[in-house]
Amino acid sequence: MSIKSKDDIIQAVVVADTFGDEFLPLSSDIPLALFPLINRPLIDYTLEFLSLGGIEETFLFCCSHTDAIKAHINQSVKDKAGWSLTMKVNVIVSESCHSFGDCLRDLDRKGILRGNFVLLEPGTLSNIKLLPIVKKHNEVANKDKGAAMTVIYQEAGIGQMGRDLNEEVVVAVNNNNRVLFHRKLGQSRDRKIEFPLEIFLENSNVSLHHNLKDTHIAICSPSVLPLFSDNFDFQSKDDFVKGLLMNEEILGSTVYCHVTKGSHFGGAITNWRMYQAISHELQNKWIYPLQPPALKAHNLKNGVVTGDKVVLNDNKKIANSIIGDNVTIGKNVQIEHSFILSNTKIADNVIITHSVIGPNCHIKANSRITASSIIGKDVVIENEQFIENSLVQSTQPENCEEKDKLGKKAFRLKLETDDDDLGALSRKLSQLHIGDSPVEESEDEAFTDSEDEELSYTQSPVPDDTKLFFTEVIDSLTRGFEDELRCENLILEINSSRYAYNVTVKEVNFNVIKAILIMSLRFPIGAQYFSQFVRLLSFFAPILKNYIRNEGAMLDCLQAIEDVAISNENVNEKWVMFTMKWFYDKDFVTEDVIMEWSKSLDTKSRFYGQVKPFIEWLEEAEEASSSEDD
Amino acid sequence: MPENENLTDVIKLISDIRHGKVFNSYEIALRTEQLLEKLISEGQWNNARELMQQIKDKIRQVSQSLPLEATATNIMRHILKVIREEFDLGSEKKAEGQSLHQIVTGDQSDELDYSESHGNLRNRLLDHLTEYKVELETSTENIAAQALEHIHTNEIILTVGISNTVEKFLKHAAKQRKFQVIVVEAAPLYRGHKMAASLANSNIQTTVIPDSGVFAMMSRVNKVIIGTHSVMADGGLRAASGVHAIALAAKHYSVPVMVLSHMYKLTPTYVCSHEKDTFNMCASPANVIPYSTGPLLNKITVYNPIFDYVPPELVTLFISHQGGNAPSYVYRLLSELYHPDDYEL
Amino acid sequence: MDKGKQTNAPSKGGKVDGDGLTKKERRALKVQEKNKQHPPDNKKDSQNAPAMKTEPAKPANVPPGQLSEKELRRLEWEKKLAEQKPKPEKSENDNISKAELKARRREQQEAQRLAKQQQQKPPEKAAEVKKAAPSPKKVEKKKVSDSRRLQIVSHLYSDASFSNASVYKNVHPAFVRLGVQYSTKKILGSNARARALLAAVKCLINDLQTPPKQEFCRYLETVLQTCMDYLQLCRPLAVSMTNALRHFKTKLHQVECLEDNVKKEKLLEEIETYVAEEIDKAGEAISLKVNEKISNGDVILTYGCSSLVTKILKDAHLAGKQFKVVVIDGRPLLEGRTMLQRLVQIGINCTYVQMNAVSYVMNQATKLLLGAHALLTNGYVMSRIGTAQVALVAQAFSKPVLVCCETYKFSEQVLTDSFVYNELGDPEMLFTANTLDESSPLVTSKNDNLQILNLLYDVTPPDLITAVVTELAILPCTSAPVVLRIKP
Repeated sequence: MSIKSKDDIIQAVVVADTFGDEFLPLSSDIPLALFPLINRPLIDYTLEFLSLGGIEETFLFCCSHTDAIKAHINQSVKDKAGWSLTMKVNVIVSESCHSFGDCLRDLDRKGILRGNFVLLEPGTLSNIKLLPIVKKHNEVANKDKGAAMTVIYQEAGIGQMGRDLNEEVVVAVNNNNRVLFHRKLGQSRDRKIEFPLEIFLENSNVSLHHNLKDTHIAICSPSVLPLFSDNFDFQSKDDFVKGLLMNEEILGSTVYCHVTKGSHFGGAITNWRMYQAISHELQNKWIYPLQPPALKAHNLKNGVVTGDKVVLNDNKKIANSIIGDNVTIGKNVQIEHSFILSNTKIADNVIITHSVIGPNCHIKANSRITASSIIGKDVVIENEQFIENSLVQSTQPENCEEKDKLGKKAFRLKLETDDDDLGALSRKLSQLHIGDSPVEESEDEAFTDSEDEELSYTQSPVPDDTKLFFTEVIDSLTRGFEDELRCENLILEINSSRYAYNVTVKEVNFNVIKAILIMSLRFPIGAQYFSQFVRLLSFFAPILKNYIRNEGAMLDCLQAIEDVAISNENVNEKWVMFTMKWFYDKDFVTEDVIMEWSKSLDTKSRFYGQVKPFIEWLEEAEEASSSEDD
Repeated sequence: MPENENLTDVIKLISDIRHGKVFNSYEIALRTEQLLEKLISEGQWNNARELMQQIKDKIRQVSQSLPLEATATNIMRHILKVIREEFDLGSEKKAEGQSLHQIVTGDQSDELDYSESHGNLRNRLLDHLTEYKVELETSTENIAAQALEHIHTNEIILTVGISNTVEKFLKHAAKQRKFQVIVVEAAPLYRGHKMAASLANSNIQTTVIPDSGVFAMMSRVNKVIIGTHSVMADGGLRAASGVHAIALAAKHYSVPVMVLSHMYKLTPTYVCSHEKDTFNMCASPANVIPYSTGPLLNKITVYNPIFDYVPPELVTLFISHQGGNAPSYVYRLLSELYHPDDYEL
Repeated sequence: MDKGKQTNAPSKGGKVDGDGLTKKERRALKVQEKNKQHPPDNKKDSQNAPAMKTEPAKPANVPPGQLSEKELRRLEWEKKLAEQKPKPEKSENDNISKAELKARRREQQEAQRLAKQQQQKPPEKAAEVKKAAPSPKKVEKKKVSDSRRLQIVSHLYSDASFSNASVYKNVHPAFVRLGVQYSTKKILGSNARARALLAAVKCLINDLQTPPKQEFCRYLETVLQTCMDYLQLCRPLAVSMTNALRHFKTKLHQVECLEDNVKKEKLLEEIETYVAEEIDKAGEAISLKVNEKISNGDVILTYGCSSLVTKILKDAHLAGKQFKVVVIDGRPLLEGRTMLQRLVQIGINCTYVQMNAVSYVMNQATKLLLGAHALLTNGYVMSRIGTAQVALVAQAFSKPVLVCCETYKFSEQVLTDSFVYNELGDPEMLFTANTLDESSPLVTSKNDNLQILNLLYDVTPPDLITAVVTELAILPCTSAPVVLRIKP
């Protein structure tokens, strides 16, 4: 074994406590690090993962039950656990920290970390080979001085058991794997996400991911700790990432991400549902080569794993559960999808489903514990009790009511829950997974309907104004025609609308004439049609005169005619001829302009066919007039 | 305590194997040999019995933690035999070897104590160990040197996955004979791809086929040459998953199956049942179906077995550095390698 | 052809005719007339026959009164003929006088200009033709370079490149789409392919307008032949497709004696009956037979994806039987995953393994259910590659193997190995695996010594199979020729 210089050793930081109340009441007695996961403390798996990944020095940050953790670590070193041969573990104690951010600030003050380090959130399990990722991070940090952190994600399908719904995340990444946008969706029920436009403008290549699961592992540069110290509102890693992205210019730091491939797995136990999911995945070897302790003799059918010295009187009704050491189970006991920790005694005729029973408990006969109840340590459940969806602990909590007292050593614990939907939802999602709802295809269809409606307003601002202007003009003119208002007033109205919508002169001309022509189309077709048309046009003659003053305006006028003719199928040749003739007769449009315009027309279009006779007549008239002149 | 220290080495070896840092059976063999060398030269033992006890402890430790890992335990067993032999040579008793009369009339009390200490036992053992190490290092070349006896021109050879021994074997033959190789890609790790790329670089005409194409191709194949993880006492194989199906296809078309194995792969244990947990182990299902498949995974079971048992009827020939042997001869080879008392530990 | 000449021939000299206009003026007027008539006619044509744009000579819906239209069509036909057979046209030209030649040439030019107009407008209106245009880029088969071909299967490599647009110019868009779906492997499985083919034939029959001088059935046959040639280029035809087509052709001959307007309906009816009987009802009959053999507690192994096996398992599950299914998957198509999704949705307890773990799971299995692509006359079963391997392992463990195959897939071919007649898949599909940690070294290896063989089918000998379940009975494999003789 070569002697490495101190600088080459990769360090890791494991924060061992959750600081939350997800795991009450068990976490008041057992720290999260020592939670048994298939009969082995969680911290063993984490440390094995780190030594497997090549880490040689780990700092374990504890805030509660530090003695128990220290004792366990020392015992493991004595027993020569696998990780202890290649890795040194230092336990750091700090009683005053109340959040993840506080721990990191404390670490910053202590100044024991050098270089890049691996940061693990509480309860992380994984089999990812860390060294190549750390190397990649080094390279990235060399190129981009502000690279603060590489977050590791794993691809996971939506609705999968191991993907925490609270942590649903949408990430936008550019082709250097730099994170451009990060949003945690879990808490809200929004169906829409708004992405800032800059990320698309500034980067040639953006990929949006919704299929990622946070492994709670991150490779950090030395600048991470000072950033935590500087910003007191960073309480969790997600705050950190969000804060960094929002204030990129100010803080000058960037976040990168790495998506694992193949058989690499990473996940953290953040609540009971994840505990259940990861326990399931560990059993099914997704986290190979991390394995539950070799319990070949104790792997019963039906997915049950038992520990040492378990007395089972009959095991027919036990399915999909993990049973700890020294557990005695009576006759006719039904246990499904549950976790029974060590040294518990369960009497006869008990039914336990979807629950966690803590260590040293005593469940007396004929009780029923169902629906994600969590029973703490040392609790005694009396005969024939029915407990559902509750947290039970052995000591009396502070504000305990009469009905919450279930026994001498059993008290129901009420946690402060947010009353609004979000709190309830997140709490529901954190509890043990009870069952799968049947295929939710109908829900998907409902989503698409609402999405279709919302997507319809995709207009860019500029045509909006013109369209609005156009509708206003039509309204004014229609009103004017019906009420026989004076044209000067109408002109004033149109002009004010024009300024309101910031429309150009050309557009004004075009739209006004178009409006008039469209109004004409509203008349009923028949013998009276053209006389009504003439009336309309004569009424609006002053307006026309006002707007058609120069050649440009004449062209606009002709274009308006073209537009109306092309966009309305009922318009026939006669109408076109008539309109053009009228404009020509009233000298609103001159022959030259007409000729010029006609040359620019598409000779193959239907409109051209309609216009052609008029133009030919004009030509002949021209010839005639020119020949007359002769 | 010195015992614990020795166990430390073994524990390190075990965790390295489990985490995949030491992967090749050759590397495991070398590491084990180093470990034993260290024990013999620096360890604290006064006579042969203590030494054998320490080695037996190590064997127990390894077989408890890694029940399917055969190489390390086999080498240690072989060393036990070497120790007994050296002891016999050193002691003057029984120098004439065991005559039939003695075997019949000798009884249990005649057993050697092994507790006499010999001054130069340590040196002799170290010498022997050095020889053994050389043997280990050259065994691959020795096997490869026999390649020309088995491959003729314009043959089509089938091989599975990746094996260092087979690769050297084929490359050695390719220097003088022209032949084709078909490599089965060996799901789920697709190691066959690496093998094929490596063979193609040595100018061997290579074709890659998926596992499902073996039966179709087998009618055109002349020989199947494979490596194995270990050889069981009955002549059967514990090989990579999928080899059983290939051996069956070879049997169907009467294609000879040749297994290249080193001596340290011969295990004195039998296979009594195909029960999953005792014979085989499963790796992560992520190699079979990706984790990102979605909620489907909650409802299905996925298996990813690592090994396969191939019964001895399907194997035609074993090739080791000493030459070729039929599967029915394996029991004899075992008795040369290990002492009968060390079979069950 | 002679009718058309009459209107143009007399304008030989510079005489002024009856209406007082010179030749030039008359022509100008005629041009004008034609201009006025054509825009509406173009629309009419393209609206009435969207599917038949590529053959403008066909639509017979223009009122026969307008001679100029007929003349136009005739000219276009002639133009087409001129494109396809230049020589005979030339000889024709020699026999006609100069003036007529001149007139003809001018008319041809006009016809060409108008034909161009026609061709330009309809593509804008038909999305289907658009679909055909970008497809040649996608569907172009990757030509495997010569040095990377395997000698043993070199006869299976296809040389045809069909980026040539004229190849599918005369092909109905439904078939063009079908061809793309086949070659990109969107439609997999012999039943699915046969169904899709028959649906496309129904489309073709519906849209077909026979030109006036041709007989419906014969015309349909020629059109169908062009379509099938195109499909063959996209992907070699499956046995089920060939059998279905053969049946259809016999029905076509039978229909010849009926009246025209009844023919189409009869043909459509025949196709629907065929699908209903040979595929749907046969599937149900097979399912009933196999369901008797499935008992509670069974562990059924299946390989790849088969619509028939899915149906059988679904029926068994709905009947309330408790069994487990193990799905074995093979590379590179990984069809087993589709099968897995379908079975899990039905609610069956499933296990999934790859091909290498066959020996591992075979122990706990009680029977095997396999689908087939075709059943050959000598009793061999042609099916997805890997089936033979699975059957072999099953036989070694003494498990019964049942192959489920409708009788319409029985073929008269005889094969003994998997090389003589097979289909090659894309070798690059073997490079990638979405379960690997790193990419395979094959991706970067450009060595000529390295080849990849991706066969799609293999042939299972009858001694590995216990029985074949057809809708007629459960038979041993070797009874295949008997069934072929019985079938009409």
